[in-house]
Amino acid sequence: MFDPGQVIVGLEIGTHKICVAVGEAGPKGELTILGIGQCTSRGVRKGEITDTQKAAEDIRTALAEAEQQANVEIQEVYLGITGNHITCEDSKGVHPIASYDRTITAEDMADAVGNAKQFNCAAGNEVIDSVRQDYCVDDMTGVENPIGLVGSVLTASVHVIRGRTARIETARRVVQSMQVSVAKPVFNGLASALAVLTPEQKRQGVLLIDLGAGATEYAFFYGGMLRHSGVLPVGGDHVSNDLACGLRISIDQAEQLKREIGSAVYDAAAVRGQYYEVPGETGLEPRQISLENFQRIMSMRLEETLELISRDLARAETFGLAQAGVVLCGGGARTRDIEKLVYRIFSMDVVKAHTHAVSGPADVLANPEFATAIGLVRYGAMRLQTRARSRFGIRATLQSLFGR
Amino acid sequence: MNPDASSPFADGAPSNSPTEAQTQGPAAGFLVIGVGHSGGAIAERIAASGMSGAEVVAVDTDLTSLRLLGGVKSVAFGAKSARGGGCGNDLAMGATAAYEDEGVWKQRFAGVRLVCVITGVGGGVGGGAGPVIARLAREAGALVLGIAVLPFDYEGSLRRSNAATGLDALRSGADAVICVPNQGVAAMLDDKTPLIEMFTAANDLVAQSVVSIWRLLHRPALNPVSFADLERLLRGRHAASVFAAVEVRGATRAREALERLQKHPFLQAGHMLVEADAALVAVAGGNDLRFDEVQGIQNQFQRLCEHAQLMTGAAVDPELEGRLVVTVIATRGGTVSLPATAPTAAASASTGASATAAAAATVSAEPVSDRLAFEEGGEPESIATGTGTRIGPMFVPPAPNFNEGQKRELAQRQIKNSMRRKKAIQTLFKFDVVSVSRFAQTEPVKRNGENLDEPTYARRGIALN
Repeated sequence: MFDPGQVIVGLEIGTHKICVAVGEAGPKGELTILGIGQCTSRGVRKGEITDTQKAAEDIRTALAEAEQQANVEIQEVYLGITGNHITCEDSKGVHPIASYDRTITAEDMADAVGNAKQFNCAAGNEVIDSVRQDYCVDDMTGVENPIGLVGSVLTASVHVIRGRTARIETARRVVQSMQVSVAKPVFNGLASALAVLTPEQKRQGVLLIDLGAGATEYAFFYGGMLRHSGVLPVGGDHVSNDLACGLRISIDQAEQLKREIGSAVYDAAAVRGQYYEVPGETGLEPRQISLENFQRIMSMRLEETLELISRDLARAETFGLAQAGVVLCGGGARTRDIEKLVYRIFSMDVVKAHTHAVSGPADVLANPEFATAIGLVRYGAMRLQTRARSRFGIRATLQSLFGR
Repeated sequence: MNPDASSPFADGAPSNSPTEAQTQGPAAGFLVIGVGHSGGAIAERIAASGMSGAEVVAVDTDLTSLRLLGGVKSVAFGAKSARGGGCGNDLAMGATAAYEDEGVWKQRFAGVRLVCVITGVGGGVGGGAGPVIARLAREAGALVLGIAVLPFDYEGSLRRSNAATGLDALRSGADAVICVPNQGVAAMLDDKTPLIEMFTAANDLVAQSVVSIWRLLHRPALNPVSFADLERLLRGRHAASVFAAVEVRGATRAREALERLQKHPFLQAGHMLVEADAALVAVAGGNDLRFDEVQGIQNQFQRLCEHAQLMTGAAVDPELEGRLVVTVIATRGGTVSLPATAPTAAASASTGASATAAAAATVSAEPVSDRLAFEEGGEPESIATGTGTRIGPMFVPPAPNFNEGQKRELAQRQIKNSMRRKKAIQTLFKFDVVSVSRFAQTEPVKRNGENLDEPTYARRGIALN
């Protein structure tokens, strides 16, 4: 039987392309990607919508393509959010254990987490996602499940991802304008991580970097928990813009050259004195551009971006312990020699992402660009699962109370 | 020797006794030279703080700016090339002006043990003449500590690029260079601070640090810090050396000193300490300096600089009654490894009385302890110190043996180089205007004061040939 509730759709409004992934969650939680719809994005800069009309047109095209491919009608989407307004930080919530016997219950846990979410939240911001890290009972740290422990103060450590309410609302309204509701906004970095990281990697310690066109998101996991995440609104667009400015070519040409001959590492010996012919635009003579300058500009930008990330990650205490290395996804992961550059900056093994534990067309799953959209579907599937479980839980509780 | 009226250490400002500097030998072998406008201002602050035993001089080509300085010996140079004016941000002109009076400089530096050249490397005199003076001092046999004050960010790209060039020159001229970023001071103070206070605060910070280093070396100490220690710490690590000093009073002064050091702009909010691979921490106080204060501070630094080879020092100076001065020099990224010969904590410091007695004994024996005494006729390289002989500098350019004509030619070449650099800056400046075009309509991405929407190469000042 076809159950419309089990079709989950992820929508990523990216800077370079808008991507819709349609997935189906099976009864045991297995996920199948039914279709992908995509469209070049025009109204988005640095991960945020700047032109709602153009964005709406493009989203409509992408949704239509996905509907056609998956043969479903899309009613609800999980919306990926990114941009400069996102802040990711660890927050602590304290909850005193007031009960007579001082035993910690599930309610105490929920209260502590709730306090952590609200702590230090600036006006005009809202919590997009919050991920529990661990608990601290009195002075005992690193407790994963405190239920049943005895103590007087429970402190929950939560990684909270917040965003500007107005900007999330903008994206939401654009989507709603085409009669599609938004189930929940999700931080892109988290979604990508869900798609490409395995539980084993998360245990050992892994850093995911999503090199998008408008923004670069990153998420660091250790001990199975999200320890640090963030977004740097600098991406492939900046590389193209730098190239266009430095070499005096058009942005489109820069974009094309970046894909054709771009490299993340500046190899001075290999390119010294070499030139590359760029066809002239609008009837102008073809031009010679210096490959040396080309590579220098490009590698410098990528290096700076990664260094800023590495500096930010230094705040995560456990970063030095990561063993599973760095996983790259997003369009930037296709850059030649990007692994070398990442290795140089992070001194960790580098792999390109492959979407795991999802079935679907192989070419879709192997594409690093689709990681976020697929991750959004996976997020939705996990959310539905937890909901089903908790509903079951309440029913069980009620039965245990009154059913006897 | 040039008997010209505006040669070095001849009469520059009206208030000076003209012959004093020339005739009087440098008593303690320590000479502090503030070069240029900002160097002069800092020298003025140092002189005001009463640095007994060291000679403090402000030198400049600009007579007007020298006349504004009070309370410090001021000397003009480069009368031929600068004609009593400034150098107008022209490094080559500053260098030529300094070379003009070479003989006099050299004579002046003869017999000086340590020369501290303080210079604002963004300006023409500071960035041009400062490195030359440092080089001349080193050629004369002195050990040269360069203190380069980097301009505020708002001072513009010319000064910024001048500072980069001047700093490089100073590095090759001096034995060790410490950078002092003025922008760091701005970060420490409120933005609404009056400009004059901002500059005073910046100058004071440098002055305080220089004085504290001077005291560190010359004060009879319980845990002594010798010049060899300092030198070993700094040599070859120019770019990555920072220093900071704080002076605190009151009952909770030890804790307050630590807090202030952790927020100190030069230590980059404590980052420098964490990343340092070698550090020197010296505590000085009056007779009331307590053991727990010294121990607390040093222990805290052991924790903060856990990756660093930490050298410690403690000294008692009756003048500092009621005050506590903590000086920190931290370096990173160097290749020189320190032998683990840091002075161990003096057991005698466990009781205040014996500590004071020990200090008093040292004072009465010799006001300047003999590890600092300059051995007459000895080569600077052969000065025996408490921990060993002086290590040779990592990079010692051979002393140029030029005649007058060649020197002029060298200066000319430097002028050409600087002209070429300036052209490159101009083109970059033009790029800057168009560079954010694609992102012009969006909220700029700011990190650490940089607009990341601008191309990286433009912000880093890379010229595309």
